[in-house]
Amino acid sequence: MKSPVQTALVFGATSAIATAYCRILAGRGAVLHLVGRDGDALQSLADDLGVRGAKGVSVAVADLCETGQHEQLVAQGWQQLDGPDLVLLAHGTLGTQAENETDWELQRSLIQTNLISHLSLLSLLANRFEQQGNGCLAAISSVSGDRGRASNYIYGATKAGLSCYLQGLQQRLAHAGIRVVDLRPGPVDTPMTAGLQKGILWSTPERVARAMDNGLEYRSGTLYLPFYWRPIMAVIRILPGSLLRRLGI
Amino acid sequence: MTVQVSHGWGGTSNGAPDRVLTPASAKDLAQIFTTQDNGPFLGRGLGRSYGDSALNTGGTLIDCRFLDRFLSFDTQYGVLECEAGVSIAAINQVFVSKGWILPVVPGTQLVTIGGAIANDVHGKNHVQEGSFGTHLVSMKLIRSNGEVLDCDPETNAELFAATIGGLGLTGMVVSAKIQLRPIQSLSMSVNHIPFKNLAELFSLANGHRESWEYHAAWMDPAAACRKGLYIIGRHSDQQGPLDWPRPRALPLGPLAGLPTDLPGRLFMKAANSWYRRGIRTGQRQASLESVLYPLDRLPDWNALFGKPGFFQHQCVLPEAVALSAFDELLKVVENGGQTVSLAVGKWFGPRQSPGLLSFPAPGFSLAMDFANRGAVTQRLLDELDRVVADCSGRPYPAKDARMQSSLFKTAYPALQQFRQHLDPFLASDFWRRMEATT
Repeated sequence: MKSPVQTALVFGATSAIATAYCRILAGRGAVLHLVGRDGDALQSLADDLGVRGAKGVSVAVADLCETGQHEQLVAQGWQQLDGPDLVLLAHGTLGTQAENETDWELQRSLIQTNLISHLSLLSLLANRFEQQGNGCLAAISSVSGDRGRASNYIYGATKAGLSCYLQGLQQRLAHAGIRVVDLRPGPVDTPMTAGLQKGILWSTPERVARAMDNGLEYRSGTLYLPFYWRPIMAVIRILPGSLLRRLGI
Repeated sequence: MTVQVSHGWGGTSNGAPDRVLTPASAKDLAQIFTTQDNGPFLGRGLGRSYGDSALNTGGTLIDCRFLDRFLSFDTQYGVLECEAGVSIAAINQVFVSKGWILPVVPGTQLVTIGGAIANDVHGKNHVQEGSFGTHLVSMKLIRSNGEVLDCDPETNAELFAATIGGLGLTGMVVSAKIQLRPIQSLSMSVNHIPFKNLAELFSLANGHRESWEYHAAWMDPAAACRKGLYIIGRHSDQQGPLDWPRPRALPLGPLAGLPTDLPGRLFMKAANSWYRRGIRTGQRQASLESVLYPLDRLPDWNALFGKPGFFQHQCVLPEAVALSAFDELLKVVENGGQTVSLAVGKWFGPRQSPGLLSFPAPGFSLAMDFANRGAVTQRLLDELDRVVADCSGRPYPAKDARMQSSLFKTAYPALQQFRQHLDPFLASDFWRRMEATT
């Protein structure tokens, strides 16, 4: 059954994909609570969503890498929305593979942002949702977690960890009536990927957000964005390592 | 849809920037200008300028697509404030259902507000509504020295005027306030009237000037552009549905790498025969998006012309001599050794834009597309420019990839005044081409 999202708590709301998705919700008159690092950017997004028709938008400024604040941030979001229909985790960084390879500190900070902060939030949110007994918990992972590849295995590893955690939560929370969605976009043309060469499989934040919207309304499990990444990744997962090396993808 | 930052829309201007920066907020944009290293800079939107006015070879392009927030909307008076990277498509998606549209739009929704200001774009309703800049209430402009200036017809009025149609060279528009107009429904009345010669077209246009808002002409290349359809439209004043259709895009982008423009020529042939035979003449109802945005049914249509690309020649011919100059232009095409792939006409009225380098002027505007046949096409376009110069007409920089700078300089006498407002760290390939000392 389709249950429209009326209230949503969004972490990393100013990321391009989260922004595009929030705009869809705002257009339907949803109430949103946005968490992010840059106060000015959050406020201008809040204004944007207000113009688009959101019934209410509140913001909280926080650096999500500081997991110590998570409990309070989640509590605040819960109170603000009176228990949200949807929580979306969308914060993350990409870094540059070449730079990451030679600098462990950069890798550590990538893991902190893309994995540890997500797991910390997910563990808190899972308990909240279990108590609430309804709702949807979603996080933006990536197709790059499906198989380690030379071009982005560090980023990929954080996403693989995140996806694995989400799969576990799906099973655990299914009994409580909570949907858990592992969102796996392919490469998307956003400020985060500005430095990369774009190809025909690239998508836009708007397109990914529309696909998310279709899926988040009623689905549970893994959602490839756009859909064509499911068959592509199915093939890439089973390719023999020697062939993958030779293809250089 | 990925933005190709080293080609103009026509595919005939090329030039890779050294760097592309992608600010995600106005703050990021300001950050770029804390140092002027890596200049010259140029803002770029959705890349619909046909030639080199959105290219910055060897410099830094600032991709504005993610400066796309609505800042405020006055529901009573319909004044929208938004960032420069907001597209017309985004405005339609949100505001049509609230009963508001932009009063002036070009033939595609896929342009940003920054681009619409920089080229002072016009639509088919110029006779009544003027150009885009006519409806601009105010804007915030950032200069490369980091200064942010509020500009409107009273405050920083000269800079405001220089920026409208200023090709992005006076600073970068951060945000703008635009007056929207109310509509009752998405339904429009349209009428397609066949004409058999140019004089008939002009007398049709004169006869309908007051009573219809939108005016355009399609000229049939198979009849040497002397026959075709005169197309008029107006908004319905009856209440009706305001559901904006979801964008559907057929991705043709990858075709841009084809070594041939054959798909483009075949497509234009088919489009022209559709206009010749497929369109029902006479009055009927049509939806707003089909009337105002005919190009958006195939958003990447330029890719059909492959690597060779194509040129568009658009000029405005002064009212008093429009008919004879139009005739001259068609004679040049007849002797030019190459057929037109698409020819469209529009009328411009007396409403003056504040823009110093604004393109529209009272008269008739003719836009003709030509496949790129190398030297033959270049010669033909030069001949067309000669006619434009002889009748004191004006070329349109947003469409240009090759005109002589002498034509630009004589056609835009306000250039001298405009130069005083140039930002020293902004430049484009177009501007360098026009200002090159020969």
